[in-house]
Amino acid sequence: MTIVNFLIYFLIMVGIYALLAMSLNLQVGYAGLINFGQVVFFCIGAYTSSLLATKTGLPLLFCFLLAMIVSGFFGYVMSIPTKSLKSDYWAIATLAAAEVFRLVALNEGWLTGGPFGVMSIPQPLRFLFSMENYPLFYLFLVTLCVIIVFFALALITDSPFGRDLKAIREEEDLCLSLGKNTRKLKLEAMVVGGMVGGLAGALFAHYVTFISPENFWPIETFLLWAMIIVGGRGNHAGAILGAALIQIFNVSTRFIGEYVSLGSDSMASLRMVIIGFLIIIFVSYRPEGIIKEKKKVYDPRNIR
Amino acid sequence: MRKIAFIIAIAFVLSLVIGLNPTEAKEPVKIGILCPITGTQAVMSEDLLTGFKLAQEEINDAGGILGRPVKLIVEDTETRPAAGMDAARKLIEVDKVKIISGGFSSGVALPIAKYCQEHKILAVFQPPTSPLFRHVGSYIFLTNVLDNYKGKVIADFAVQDSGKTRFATMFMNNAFGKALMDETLKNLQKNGAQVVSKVVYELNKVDYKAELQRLFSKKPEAIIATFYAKEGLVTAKQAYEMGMLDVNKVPWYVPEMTSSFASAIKKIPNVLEGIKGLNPLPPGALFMEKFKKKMGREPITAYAAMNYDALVMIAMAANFANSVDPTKVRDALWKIDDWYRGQSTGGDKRFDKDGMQGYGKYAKVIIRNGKIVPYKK
Amino acid sequence: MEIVQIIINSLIRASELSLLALGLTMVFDILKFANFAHTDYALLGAFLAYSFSQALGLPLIVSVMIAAGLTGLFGIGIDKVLYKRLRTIGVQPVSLMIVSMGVEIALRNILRLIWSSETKTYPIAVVKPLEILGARITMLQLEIITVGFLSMVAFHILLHKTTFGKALRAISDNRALASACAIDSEKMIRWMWFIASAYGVIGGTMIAMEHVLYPRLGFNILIPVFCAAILGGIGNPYGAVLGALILAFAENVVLALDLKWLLNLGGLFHFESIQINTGYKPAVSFLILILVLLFKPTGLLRKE
Repeated sequence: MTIVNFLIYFLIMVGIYALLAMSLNLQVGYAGLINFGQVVFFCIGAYTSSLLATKTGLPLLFCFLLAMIVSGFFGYVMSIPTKSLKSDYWAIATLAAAEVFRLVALNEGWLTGGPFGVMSIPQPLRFLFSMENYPLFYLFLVTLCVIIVFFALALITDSPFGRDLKAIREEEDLCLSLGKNTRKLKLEAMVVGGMVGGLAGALFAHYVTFISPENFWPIETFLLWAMIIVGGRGNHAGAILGAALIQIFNVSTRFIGEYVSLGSDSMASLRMVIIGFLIIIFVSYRPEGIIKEKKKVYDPRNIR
Repeated sequence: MRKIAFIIAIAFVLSLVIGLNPTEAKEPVKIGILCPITGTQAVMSEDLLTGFKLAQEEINDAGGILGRPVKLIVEDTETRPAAGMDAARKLIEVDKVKIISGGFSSGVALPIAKYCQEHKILAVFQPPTSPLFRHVGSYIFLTNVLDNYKGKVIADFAVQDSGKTRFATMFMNNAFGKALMDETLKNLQKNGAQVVSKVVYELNKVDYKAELQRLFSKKPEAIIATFYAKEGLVTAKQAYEMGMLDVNKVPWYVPEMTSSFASAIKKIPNVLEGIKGLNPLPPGALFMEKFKKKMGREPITAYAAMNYDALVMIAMAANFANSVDPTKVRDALWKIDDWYRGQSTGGDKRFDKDGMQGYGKYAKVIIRNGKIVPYKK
Repeated sequence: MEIVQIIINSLIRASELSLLALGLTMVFDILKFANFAHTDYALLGAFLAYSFSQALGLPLIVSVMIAAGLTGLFGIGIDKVLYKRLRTIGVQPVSLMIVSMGVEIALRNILRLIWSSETKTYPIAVVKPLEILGARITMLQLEIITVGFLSMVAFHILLHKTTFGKALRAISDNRALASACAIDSEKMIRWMWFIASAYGVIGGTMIAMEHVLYPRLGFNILIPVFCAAILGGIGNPYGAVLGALILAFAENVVLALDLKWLLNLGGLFHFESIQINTGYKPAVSFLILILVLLFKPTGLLRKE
């Protein structure tokens, strides 16, 4: 029960948000897909894994994997309309889709527990650790996931696939004319993004051991957007930095609250006003975010 | 009588305080308070906090806990589970509180209660009233009465008072509403009544006409419905305008009268005329007097007094146990509850073996001339 | 009897939504981006009108007029500070949409800072409704339908009988050609913001008058308004009205539907009654929106 425990808890949450932000960043920063329903992957991952664990007693490793698969499949479903739909229309549709999922989780009580949510979600390898040490292990687990995802995504985005993705974002028509299959590329970005988002959801559910539909309001998506916009679109380190900064900002208002004589209601409003302004200012004046995307210049002499 | 009991209680606290070694450092005893200051239930936050502050002043005037003053650290749950958890963890891990009190919605409180139980933090909560709390563990106490009782009492009241058998129900779609609905439906059935339509509604919307239409679609003979302040205002207005608030034809029964119509009774009192329902038993006269003196108004709800009781009981138990260790205070709570005369829910604050209030009594009320008054048939 | 009430309720809702959808569809059409803050502009006006009538004691109708004018200027101001700059440096319209999301978050919470999250009502007495064919309607609701209808007529005249309307339609059809014809498109855009915001205020105030006023109201009606605008066809003001009508009717009729006749297959089964769980009511507009986007993203009516 020390400040270290709070720090561990805080870092775990940063890690989970970093995964979500990297997933969103892959869709937005690389493929130019404006997903306003990112929270849906978080929701599906959390529910899939925790329901499998509590209802079937499947080993947790499989729960995590299935959460990623189901969430990735939903990413595939979401990518289908990108073929014909303009990006802003698709963005609005994703916002609506995320809300529909939250309502399903809320109303299908026989499956999801409805408003009571899922309780007593088992934790991976819990029996190996004491109460005090377990959070440290979980932090290790989350950090491991962040590192693996970071390098996996880096591998993808530095490959020809990643370059093509960026090309879609810049000039989709040009890309098409070069004979690139932009639909397939977007599809892959959504599936991978969905899997990473699902992993974050599962990690969250098994950490807090209790989830309910109230965890998945659209506001979470907007926070994720603030993270990638501030951190820097189009690079994975920026997404992690953004996640950390926004989380620090969110928590810090709890601590300065004692020194600033504002009511809590005003404090919470002010916090969101600042988030809103951050989005406006960064998109308008520093669209590349804090960490600039590395624009690779290919030297023709090196190409054999 | 109550006053005398109260004075005895305070005298007891004092005697313990004086009996202790006065040389002990005067470092305050920190108690964490969780409160929905923002979010859907924020309207009542001033009331809730005042209850705690009154208790704090009184305890400190009487010498505090083991001679140390009580310090309250208040955190906002924002009526969001994630924010509530942030708040609880900050209290427990950063401020290092061992005892938590507060009042907020069941959905927010359940994960916090589980966390407290796991880390042996004593939690004396107030309005989360979902029956699920019974089984969280031995460190969780409630000063309010669980919904099992409320569901039964409202169902019995509605069936016996109206003599009708075709009911329709309307509850909010969250943990509180769902739990209360399940209990109510079960008890309506036991009473031989039939439920012809069950409506659940999403909070924070502005148009409930379609829900109301559905509520009345199967020609119910009586309604059981509950709201929060905002939804109560909107729904009452729309039901009235669609001619559904004619209580002589179809009577309405509301399990939580004051919190359902906290706004409506101020803004559109005339349309609520004749609605019957339940309220927590009103706070004791002593508490009412103190509250009025401090705030210049009466408390909106009965919850302020429950918070008051929670804090006073924590202080008494700590003094009784001669310790602020949460486990010892917890054990002492079961001892002092026998003779503590509370200011809320009728005064009997005895806990059952699960730390829940052992019985459920409510005030039957009706709205007459824009006021909530006791109801007698 | 029930059906008459449903029709009346739908008409009221449609009157409110269509004025909001109108502004959204105009901005979307001319500037090619979905303004997420549109309903919050409307709410700013509704709060201003509330304060004018409460604090200054102005008659309600006057307060609404002043508030609509001020909010119109606010719309122009935001455009001048944010969107105009981005337009001139030629960023993609999706960036404007993301900026507007930032404006939405900031503005909603500024409203909460100023007016607090407590529920407000306009000083309108609740009176016994009139009865028409067994259904009930209040004077206020009649006025809402009338004002909604008159506003639409006024808009029609504005669009077809004034030079502004002609210029606006020219810009909408072909911006380059319009500026070649010496139409000052920036000036026209300013006017468009003014009208879109002011119309929004009338719609928003009508919703708040009929129900209640609180800061989150804007976000709550955002998806229904998007749904009405897109369903009707972006860029077509009559489409916005049609979309609002269909949506309002769907919202009201879905909960009243009883599908038992369908599932009992002419007496084969004996289901008591099959009705949609009322918890799904908020999903109606989300689902319609998704279906329209999937199957007819151009909306029902073509652009004129």
